[in-house]
Amino acid sequence: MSAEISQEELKAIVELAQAGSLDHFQQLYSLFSKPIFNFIWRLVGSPNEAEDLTQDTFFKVHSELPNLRDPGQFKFWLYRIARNEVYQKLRRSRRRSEVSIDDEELAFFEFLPDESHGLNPEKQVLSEELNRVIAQALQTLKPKYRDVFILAVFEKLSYDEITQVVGRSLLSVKTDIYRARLAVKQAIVDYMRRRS
Amino acid sequence: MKCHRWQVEISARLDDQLSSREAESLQAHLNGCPDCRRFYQDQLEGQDLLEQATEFRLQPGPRVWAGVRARIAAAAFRSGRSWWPPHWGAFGIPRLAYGVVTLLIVVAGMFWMLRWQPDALELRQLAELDEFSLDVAGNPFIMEARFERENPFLPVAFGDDGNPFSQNRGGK
Repeated sequence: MSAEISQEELKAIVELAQAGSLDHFQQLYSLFSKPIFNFIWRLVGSPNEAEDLTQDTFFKVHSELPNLRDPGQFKFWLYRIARNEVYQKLRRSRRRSEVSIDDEELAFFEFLPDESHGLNPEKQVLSEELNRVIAQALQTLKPKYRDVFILAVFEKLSYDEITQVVGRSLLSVKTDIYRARLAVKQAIVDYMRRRS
Repeated sequence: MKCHRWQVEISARLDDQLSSREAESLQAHLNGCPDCRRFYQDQLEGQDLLEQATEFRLQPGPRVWAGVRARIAAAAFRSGRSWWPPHWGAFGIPRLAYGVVTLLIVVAGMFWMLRWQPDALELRQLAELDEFSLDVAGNPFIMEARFERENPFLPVAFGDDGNPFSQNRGGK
């Protein structure tokens, strides 16, 4: 992700993409598509829907990129657009705020997991099961708890960075992450009890 | 600070988001508060599994970038000249160029009209028909005379013999 390049390099790439270079926009896509896709997937619970929304997000980013005043803020701006796309989609489809995940039955097993972590097969299965449990727990949360929790725990954004993405106070972000953690933690404990 | 607020701080600690000063304050509270200490232990349980779950990440398929590219291309095609400056017109030609070309055509047309003079043959024919001498060449009224002859709405001046096709006109 952006950890692979410095902030200055990222800024330079954003500026070139703003000037209309599609190659540099593709570079931005390569850097951020995975985290954005995973963020969206955990928000909506469906990998197929996440792919569509990732596409919507990057198309919107391309259209709006010339309007981004501070290229140094690109990462937060990108997450903000992704989050807005998800909420717009949820509003459009008039679903209840807790997205149904029954239809696709968390079909993320059909998707290619990221090989970079090199999990062994046993760990991989456990990880998939665990992710199913966590995904189900996340879907029961209000979106405002869900997004900050995903950003903090799964995307490893700092709380300060999250405030820039969601536009809420640090105290509000902290409290929402705490509430989400309680729910997810409970789901994990229940899962462990079932296993043992 | 109430225990609820400390529990929020415990959550932040699990995400490694406390400053050293905040972490020290929390530790001091944990040392003196068994309820919060228990809460902290509860939260630690399962934290490893949560960490493990964060390692599981999916890869977006190639269709995502292909779709983004196609939509960018389609948008550029739809907007047509969106990348041209706003004062440019259709086909990427500046509106000023349209104006200049139009003006040139008008000026050239006027110049051509003003420069038109009957050629020698026409002058000779006119002189013969109307008994004009060749020295009328250059006379501005010659065009008017010619116009009168060609105007179908003017009464025909019959010749002396009454034949409208006769070239032998009377009165001239």
